[in-house]
Amino acid sequence: VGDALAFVGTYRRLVGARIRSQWQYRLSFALHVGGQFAAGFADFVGIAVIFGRIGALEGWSVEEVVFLYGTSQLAFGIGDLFVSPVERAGIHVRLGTFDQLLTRPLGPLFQLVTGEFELRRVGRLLQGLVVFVAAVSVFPLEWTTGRVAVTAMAVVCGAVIFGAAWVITSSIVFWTVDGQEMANSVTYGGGLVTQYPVDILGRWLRRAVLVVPMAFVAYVPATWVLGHDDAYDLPSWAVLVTPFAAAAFAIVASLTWRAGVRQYRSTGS
Amino acid sequence: VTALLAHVAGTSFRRHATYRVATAAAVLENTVVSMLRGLVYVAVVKASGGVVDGLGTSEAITFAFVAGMIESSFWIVAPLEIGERIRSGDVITDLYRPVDFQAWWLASEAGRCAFALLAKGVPQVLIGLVVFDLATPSSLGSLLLFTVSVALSFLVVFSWKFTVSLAGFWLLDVRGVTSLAGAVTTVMSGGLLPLPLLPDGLAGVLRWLPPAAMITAPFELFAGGEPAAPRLAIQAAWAVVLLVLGRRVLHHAVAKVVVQGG
Repeated sequence: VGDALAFVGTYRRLVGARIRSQWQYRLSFALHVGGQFAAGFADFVGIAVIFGRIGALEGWSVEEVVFLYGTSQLAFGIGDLFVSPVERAGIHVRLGTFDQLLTRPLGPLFQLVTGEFELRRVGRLLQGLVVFVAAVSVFPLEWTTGRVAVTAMAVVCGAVIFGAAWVITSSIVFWTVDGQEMANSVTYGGGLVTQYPVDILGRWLRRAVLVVPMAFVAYVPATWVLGHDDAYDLPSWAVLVTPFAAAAFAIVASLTWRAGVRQYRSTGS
Repeated sequence: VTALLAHVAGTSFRRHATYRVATAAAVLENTVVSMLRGLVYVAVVKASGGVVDGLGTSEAITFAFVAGMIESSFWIVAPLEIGERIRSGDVITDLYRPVDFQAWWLASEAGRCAFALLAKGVPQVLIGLVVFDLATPSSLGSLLLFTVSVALSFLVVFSWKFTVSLAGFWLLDVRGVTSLAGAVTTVMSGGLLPLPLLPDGLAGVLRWLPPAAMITAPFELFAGGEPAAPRLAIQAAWAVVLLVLGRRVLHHAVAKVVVQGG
């Protein structure tokens, strides 16, 4: 327990220092948050425009898709704030500064998520929260304990899944040296695949997102909460697989990262 | 000077060509993202009756791949490095150089984009052609016009991002502005949803603006059915206007430059 507390203490000190330094440039910070908010909001505009044109998308009404989107964005926002700084690994590898991280008495992953922490990403989280709250409050649904619990679980597990995806895609730079685009694939591909019902995908892609567990971020929990048919014909207990899918993916991420760091060879000229 | 700029472009090309495995990974990644986007568009087009304003299912998926090619090659959202160099103070080195600042960056970006287009953008569209039934240029002539349109798209993207990044001379930290600009440009260019899927009045206005010259114009020439000359003329006009605007803004910025860092 003492170790865990020390760990949390270190995390708070390091992230606190980052927050204080970023808070120095107020205008710049406000613009950052606005920019992040807008980036997330653009996707929402897309959904609004789509449903301005059509009534339902593959059997999903606008309220249902907004619920899916809100859950996915909230999970994305949390993962983005706390884990996505790991994508800076690519820059450190390319510049050779990753060596410095290895010499310090903390894990490189821990140093990245603290040392590259960006408070501006709160904008993205805020946007997810706004849409999520709006979706929940307009939705004519009785909020039973079970529904609340499953929704909360979906957000937490979704954040873990996104976080794991960032760690995996960022690990790839240890083999490729330049790999910013792989990390982008989580932002763009992962975003797309979780915001819309998987019904729009072809059969093989649909299966793929069940294995790379993006379907568990919002789709599987949402079908349970909304009582909606799902494209896989899953039994209703499948929603309880979500934490296991998230945990398994996190383990894969951890192994990939370790393998990457082990085989890291310094760049430089 | 031309030889020097050509050399800058060549070096930039080679610098980005160094990372082979990363390039292969990027092609895979971009293809998947384009495919996912395309499937969203197809679902929307199907749900609204099969064809929206000339955009059928085949055109919808084509749009995703052409847009993906341009975005992944020219990086419409990602800012130029200029902003970061202003923040760190490194920009002073760029300003010292006995070469025009804008021309230097144009050459450097041209090299990067040429490589990205050949190694990432085009292969992605080729994969799209194999897997899906894309709407393709009907003749060699229209393929040529499409190529011209892609080149003009590069100029518009560059000059637009160049001008935006100069805001850094006033704000010192330009990242907020660039991410805001990136989001707005994505929506206006059709990068979020193809313009035909946007409300008609809005789409009508957006068609004339610079972001549409980045993605929508090349797509229309690729899928055919649009008279080429007016599209190319609008693209060329915006490229010139934005390049000149960038120069004017740069002129003011340099007059007041404060270099921070050390």
